[in-house]
Amino acid sequence: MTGSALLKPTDNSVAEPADEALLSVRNLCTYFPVRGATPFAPKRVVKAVDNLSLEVGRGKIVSIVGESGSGKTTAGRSILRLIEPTSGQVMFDGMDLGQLGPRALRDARRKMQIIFQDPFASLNPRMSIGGIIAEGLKLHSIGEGRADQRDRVAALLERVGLSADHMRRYPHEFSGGQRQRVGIARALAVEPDFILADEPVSALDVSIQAQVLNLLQDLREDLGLTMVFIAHDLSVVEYLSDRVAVMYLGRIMEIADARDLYANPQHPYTEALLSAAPIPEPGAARNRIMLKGETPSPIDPPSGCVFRTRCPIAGPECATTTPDLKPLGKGHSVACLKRG
Amino acid sequence: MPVERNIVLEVDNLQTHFSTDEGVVRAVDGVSFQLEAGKTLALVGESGSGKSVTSLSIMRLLQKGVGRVAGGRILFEGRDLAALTEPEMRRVRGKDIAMVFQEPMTSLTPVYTVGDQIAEAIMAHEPISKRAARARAVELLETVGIPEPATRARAYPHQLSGGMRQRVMIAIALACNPKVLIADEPTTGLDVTIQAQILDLMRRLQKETGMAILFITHDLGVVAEMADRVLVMYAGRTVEEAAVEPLFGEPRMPYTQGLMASIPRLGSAPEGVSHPRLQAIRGNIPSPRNLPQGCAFHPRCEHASPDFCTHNVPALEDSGMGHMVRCARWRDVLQTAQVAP
Repeated sequence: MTGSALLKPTDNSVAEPADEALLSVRNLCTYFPVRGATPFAPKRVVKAVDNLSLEVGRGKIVSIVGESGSGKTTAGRSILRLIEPTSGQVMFDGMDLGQLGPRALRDARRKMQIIFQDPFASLNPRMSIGGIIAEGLKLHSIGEGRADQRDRVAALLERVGLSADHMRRYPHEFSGGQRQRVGIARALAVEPDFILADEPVSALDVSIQAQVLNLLQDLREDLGLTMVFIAHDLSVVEYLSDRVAVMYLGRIMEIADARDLYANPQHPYTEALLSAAPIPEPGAARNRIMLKGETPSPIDPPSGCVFRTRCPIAGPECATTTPDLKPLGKGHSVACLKRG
Repeated sequence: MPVERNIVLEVDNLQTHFSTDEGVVRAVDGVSFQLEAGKTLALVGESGSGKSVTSLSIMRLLQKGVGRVAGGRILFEGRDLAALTEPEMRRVRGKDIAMVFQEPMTSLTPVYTVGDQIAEAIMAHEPISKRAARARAVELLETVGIPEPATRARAYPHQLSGGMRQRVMIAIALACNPKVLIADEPTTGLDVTIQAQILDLMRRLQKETGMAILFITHDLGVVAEMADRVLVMYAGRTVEEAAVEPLFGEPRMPYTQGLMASIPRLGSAPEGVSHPRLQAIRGNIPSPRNLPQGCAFHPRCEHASPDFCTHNVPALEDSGMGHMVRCARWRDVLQTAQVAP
């Protein structure tokens, strides 16, 4: 058999019912201890991810959007247990990832792959492209013998828009966009069900970024992949996302179906993020909500609502009460005392 | 000319070459533009387009022995910068033409306080006491919107956030009231909410000081907000240049059109399409070491003709009202665009 079998599209008509989640994250918390200024100073923690819950249905893409320090990357890695979460539960395909031993976790990870932001740092410069992609095949003993593995690598390269004879080349011979395709091929090699894409297009030029976003869209459609897509700006993920979660200082501020979030944002932070994105139209009416100041240090977050120090509509109650995510209906939830 | 234009900086047929093991690389190949006082010209391009090399050429900051200006003229208020001695050039740099870079952390020294670094920039160009320079530094920090400027002047760069450091860089650039500010990707890498603040600050300062800004960026959204005039670069050459409205309203070079179409725009996802696609430009950005024959964009271009575009470099021509375009087929391209919705 050739490697093309693994790239066979899934038949959408017999897909799982939409309500069944492949990945379900409940109350995930990842806290990092920080050393105090003096040896006997009280111990403090950074709540990098605080009480994160989300569900990702099969074949769906859920995006986590936030600025620097929002905890989006830590959230992604905690979901895969690349960072050990402090508490909470991650259910993947019926398994509780937190309960798995090392061997079982390794087997589960075959089904969960990651695409990194930096296509320059995430490929080993001393390995050929073929070697990089085949590594996962070897590790998980996929394919019958080397010839079959080579066929699989060739099929994968073609699947991501490269050509089979790129196999013998090395990462430095490729541009950023091509390397990111290699990273995607490597992730696909082990036939995962789930991909965590951690800012996969942030380092790419605009004309190339669109190519890679379209490739991810094709892969989701053809292979029925499920994805969590991490991004720092809302415009990049609009085309791809089924749902979007907006994070700020470790907490989800708002989560909704993509169309609903863009058309009808409820949280003042989501509104500000949407309005801060530069519009590529000169003279476009910009009702910009200019946020005051900067994201506070996560070591010392504001009391109550973490966004209140920059919030245009914060009131006195926001300093004392931490808002929980309130469901507004149709899967739209917002963590704001003033809204909803 | 009906209106008197106050040209502060003029770049005429700039050629910048880099010598590499594989021979001479023409990083900038015949770029020309004029920068007017109080106005912003945006240089737009992707990796390898030569936009940053253009700015380093103007400042004469190319690495010695590697890159050199091989031809053309750079005139600041009519003076040819190439003819200046290094000490004379040093007086221009920072005083007449100042620069803000993308990476505020690497442009600031970690061992001095930001107040001292601003004061140093002032003392390099003006006969002023250290005390007075420090006082000016605090004023400048206030101008660029840093809260508690007197306290922050005593901070070291690592104690400030990325946005604050970029404000400090702008304060240093403004220290001697430059006539030209070259801003090379000043907001790239900053969060969007912080970027909005920095762009707002730059617009305000330009209005107050009347300085000209050469704004180098890859981000067309930022261009639309900042620029009066736009120059699009591809593979070392100008491929399109126009005032900001016509450039966005009716881009004429297929590359510019492709770039505009490939930006993900908020709220643009088509209704009722389950998995929409963006419009991408096919192929890859060519390496400056190995440019295609003929029009450098032809391998990626939908309109390229096998007879002309693959062999000949088209001239930069005026397509009307000063809208410059480098495309042999711009008339046909324009017609196609007008027929299509």
